[in-house]
Amino acid sequence: MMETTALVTGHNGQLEHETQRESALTSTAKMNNFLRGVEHRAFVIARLATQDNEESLDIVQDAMFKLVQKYSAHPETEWGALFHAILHSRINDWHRRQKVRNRWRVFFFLSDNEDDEAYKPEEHVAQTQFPEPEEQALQAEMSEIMLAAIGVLPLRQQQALLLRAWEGYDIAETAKIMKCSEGSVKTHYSRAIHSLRGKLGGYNGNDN
Amino acid sequence: MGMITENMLLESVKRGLDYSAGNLDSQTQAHLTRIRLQALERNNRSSMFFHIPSFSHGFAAAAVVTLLVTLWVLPNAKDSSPTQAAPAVSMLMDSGQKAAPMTLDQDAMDVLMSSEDMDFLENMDIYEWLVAEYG
Repeated sequence: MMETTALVTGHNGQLEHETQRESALTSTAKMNNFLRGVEHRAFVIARLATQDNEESLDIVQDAMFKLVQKYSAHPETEWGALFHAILHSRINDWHRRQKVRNRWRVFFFLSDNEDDEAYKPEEHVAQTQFPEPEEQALQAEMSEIMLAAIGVLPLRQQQALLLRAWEGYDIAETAKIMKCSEGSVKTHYSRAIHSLRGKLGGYNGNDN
Repeated sequence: MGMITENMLLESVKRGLDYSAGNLDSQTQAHLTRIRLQALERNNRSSMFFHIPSFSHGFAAAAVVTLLVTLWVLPNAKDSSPTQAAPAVSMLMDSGQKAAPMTLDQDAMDVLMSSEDMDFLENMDIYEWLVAEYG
């Protein structure tokens, strides 16, 4: 009798284990799909903020690790906002560290010629791989100009613009992700639009 | 060329960013794929560590409980006081027989713990008679 009970318990345990494994695999597959869908955009966001490919990859990696480790169990619908909250938090951390580093540089009078040169965002944007067709070339040119303009926006304006205009979050969600008030989001966003309009006033891709 | 409206501007922003995200160089794409797989792999490894089959948990718990009960009950049984063992002693011993209570208690425990001495207990009447007769 006891042996039968043990066998039944063991079998149930095995079934439970297999169910757990299947659900873990499904969860992993879902997370993989989610990350695959956001990784390119996340990289572009990080590169706009850091203007550095390696730093951007590190930031995206940190964001992915944290999302997978801490928030896998959260509902799938929350992953997007959580991922962007982590990503933007990492970008803010990076900027803070950069500020401290720059202060030390100034303190020790270390002049870095590369840093003294005016930053030219158009030199840092991704190169198009197949620019043959005319339309594609035009799109590439427009993209470069747009990235250059967004890249020089102050960080918070950049974040508000990307989250609202590109990622499609509403004001409340953007405020949560950026960890600021809704009023601040509106201000940053409006300034970003104003600034972009000023920069791109003489350029309209649709006219060409 | 007219003034850019907000909608046109946002549309241009979206198109420009989409284009950039969709045309990353192959090296960057490979990097991103690698870090994504690393993140998932790391999570799988840590979750494998914590997801030991539940029946194993059951067996482990049962084994620990058995061990604890054994360790707790046996010494108590062996170290039980002579007064508690007195009735058993009186049953086993004739009135003339005086043995150390601790020794008898130990013997009773040994008898109870070993299966081969059950015959002895079944024939207790004969032994009692023998003791009374030849004491």
